[in-house]
Amino acid sequence: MEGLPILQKNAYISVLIKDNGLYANLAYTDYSNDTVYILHDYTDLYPLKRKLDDHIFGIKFWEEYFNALEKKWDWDIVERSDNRFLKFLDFQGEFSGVTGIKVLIDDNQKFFRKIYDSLKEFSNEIALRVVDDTHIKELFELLSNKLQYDDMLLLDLDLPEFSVYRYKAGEFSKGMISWQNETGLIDSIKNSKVKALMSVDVSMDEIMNKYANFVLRPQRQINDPILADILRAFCIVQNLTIYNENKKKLFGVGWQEQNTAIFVTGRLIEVMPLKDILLSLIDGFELLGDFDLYIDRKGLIYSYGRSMSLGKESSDVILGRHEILPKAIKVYLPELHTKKSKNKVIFQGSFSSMGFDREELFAINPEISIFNIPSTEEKVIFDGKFVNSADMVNGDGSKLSFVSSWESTLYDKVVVDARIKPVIYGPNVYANRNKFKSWFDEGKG
Amino acid sequence: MCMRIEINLKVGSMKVRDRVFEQYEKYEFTIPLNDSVKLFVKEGEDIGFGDNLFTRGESSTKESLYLPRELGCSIKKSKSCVASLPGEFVQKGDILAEKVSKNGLTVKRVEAGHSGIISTKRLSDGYIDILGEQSSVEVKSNFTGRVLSADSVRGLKICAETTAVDLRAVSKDFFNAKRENESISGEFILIGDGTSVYTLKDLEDDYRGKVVFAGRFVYEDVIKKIFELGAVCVLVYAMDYQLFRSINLPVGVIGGFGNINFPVEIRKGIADMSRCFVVADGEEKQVFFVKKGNMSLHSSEDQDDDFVDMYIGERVMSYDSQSYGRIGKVIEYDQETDYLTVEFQRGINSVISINSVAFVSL
Repeated sequence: MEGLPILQKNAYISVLIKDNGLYANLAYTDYSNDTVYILHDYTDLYPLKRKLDDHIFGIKFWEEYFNALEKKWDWDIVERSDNRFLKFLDFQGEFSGVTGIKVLIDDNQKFFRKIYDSLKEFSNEIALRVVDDTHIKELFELLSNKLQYDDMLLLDLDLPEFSVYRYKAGEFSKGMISWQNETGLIDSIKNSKVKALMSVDVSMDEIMNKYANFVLRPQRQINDPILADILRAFCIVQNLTIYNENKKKLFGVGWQEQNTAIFVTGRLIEVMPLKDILLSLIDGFELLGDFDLYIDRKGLIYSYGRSMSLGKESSDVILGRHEILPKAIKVYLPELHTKKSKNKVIFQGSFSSMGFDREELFAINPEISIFNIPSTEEKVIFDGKFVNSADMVNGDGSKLSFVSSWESTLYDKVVVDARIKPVIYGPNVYANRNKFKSWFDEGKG
Repeated sequence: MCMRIEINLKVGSMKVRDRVFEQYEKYEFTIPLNDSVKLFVKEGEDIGFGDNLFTRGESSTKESLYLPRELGCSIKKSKSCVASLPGEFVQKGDILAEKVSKNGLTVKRVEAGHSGIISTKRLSDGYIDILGEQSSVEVKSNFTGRVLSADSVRGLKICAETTAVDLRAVSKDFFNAKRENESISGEFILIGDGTSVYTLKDLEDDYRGKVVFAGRFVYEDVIKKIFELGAVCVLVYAMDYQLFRSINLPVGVIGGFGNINFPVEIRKGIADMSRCFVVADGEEKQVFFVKKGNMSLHSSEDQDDDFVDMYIGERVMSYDSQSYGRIGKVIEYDQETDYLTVEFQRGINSVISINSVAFVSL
């Protein structure tokens, strides 16, 4: 396939449809002016959930959708005749027209066929793609070449389906939990493991009512601590179940020194704070070692991961890694060999940069410390070491370092989990509450 | 090379309007018939409100017994305990069902309180009925529509204008009814004015063939009694999820689970549908209220666009934990924080994230 001329201006729309949501992104590139940006929108289709299979969801909906995107982005996208959609407007320049449009539909999306057909009927200019295992495997192969990670994990945390894909040394594998209907998904919260991981003392009636309301009409922001606690416990149990059922496939993630990446996406990460995402990952997959964590809340990896990986060979749009990937979070998960290390410093390190004064860091057992890297345009050098019997499963814990820079990977945070592994929850909600208090020092978060 | 990256400040997401009362101009539904009916309408005919549709033989119900409660077992188990045959004539005191337990040491029996004919038509719901004399009942239309087909085997297929309301959840018995090719339909009746939480003393004597709206929240004894009184389906705004899962009867939940708000706007809309013919579709998870006479059906405001253009002045339903289920009007939008100021009652405002509300059309 022929690539695009690098200096050609481009405005390419990608729409990802998954878990009753539309993730739309318009990537504009003008390399002659050093200008690259992505306009984003997320439209929740839950209000139309019951109507996705009838006439209300059809050509008229797509017409209105692209009209609304035009207004939101202040960008002319469609050409009209008598106020009706005629075709997509040919690209003329910034804010006017598009060079192409692609719609990716998750094969697990309800009424997949109806949505696919309605788009086909709406316009033959749209390149329709299906996000299935084959698509993700190809995406991984390309990402692996581009990003140079030996071991990559993609977690897609949608409500009806939790999928975990791993690509290690050319081998692709998958683990998943899929709920065929809402009732099964809601009833799953009765699992005694969920209650064992919770830290609020509420009746099963309240748990079921709150969780059922969320599953049947999810919000994109929650401020209810009980619901947040339920979702964190639910995510850990789901991940743990996938891990236990696929131990051979998922064992040893993070053990490749400095060479593991975990990408997290899906509806649930939108409502979960970083701390809960970390717990669901670390405790759900019983992780050790270190990895780079990328939290993709905009569906950009699915939408433009392929274009980013192909670089100049891409046939739709040329994009760099910093436009597509969010800033990485470096996570260190040491092994602690003695229980005597409680309340002792087990990690010492620093951030150094031309852009700010050197910053010293330390982590105490059993805290999960989250260090924000100060904002700067300059390179940031991280150095650190584990002390007091803490060590890395995948290498020398006395020499940790990485560089955050525009030339390679940009990092946002460093996480050091100084808890003794394996992590033990319980025996009751009050004990869990105390453990969470001791794990997270709010001052650093 | 250091690329200039512009940050998109327009972070808010587009919103799809949720039409609570969606209008369908041509909805097709079937009224099941049996061999005993005499049809008065034929294919292609227009039906008006009050027109005679058919006559059918119908027996009065002398007594209804809910076997799981009488025998202290599940519906599934109770089916195997029935000791009388459908169509059998029983005298007062005859044994209708019997459950032997503890290796025969204890026996629980259900006896007939009246003499009459046994009907096991509702046994899948756990009920056994004793029927009285049969009489011919004339069924009149309480809707307007067109007959698409009419025969006693396939039923009476009608095309009519309807207003649909989405159901948040339906029990599995909705689907069972669908599988047995008996669409759940009937006259829509409210207990009281439908706005409160009702007790047994609020119920009428007979709900045969009716789809009953049980109010803002329902308890187990009330829901079971409504079915005992002959209802084909119960709709409710809210109930406890654990009861919903254990009830094993055709129940549809409109609002959600637990103690949630029942907004006055939705109350009014539901009350407007009182006495309409309603079809409850478990597969679509929607209830369709069929237009009656020349009266226009309650439907959401006719707004051309599915997408919300301007937030201010729009009505929203809150999913925030402090005001879950309440409906209010947006009076302010802060673009920087993506928070809305919503007026729920005159003078009472709340600040809510735009991601914790649904824009609704009522």
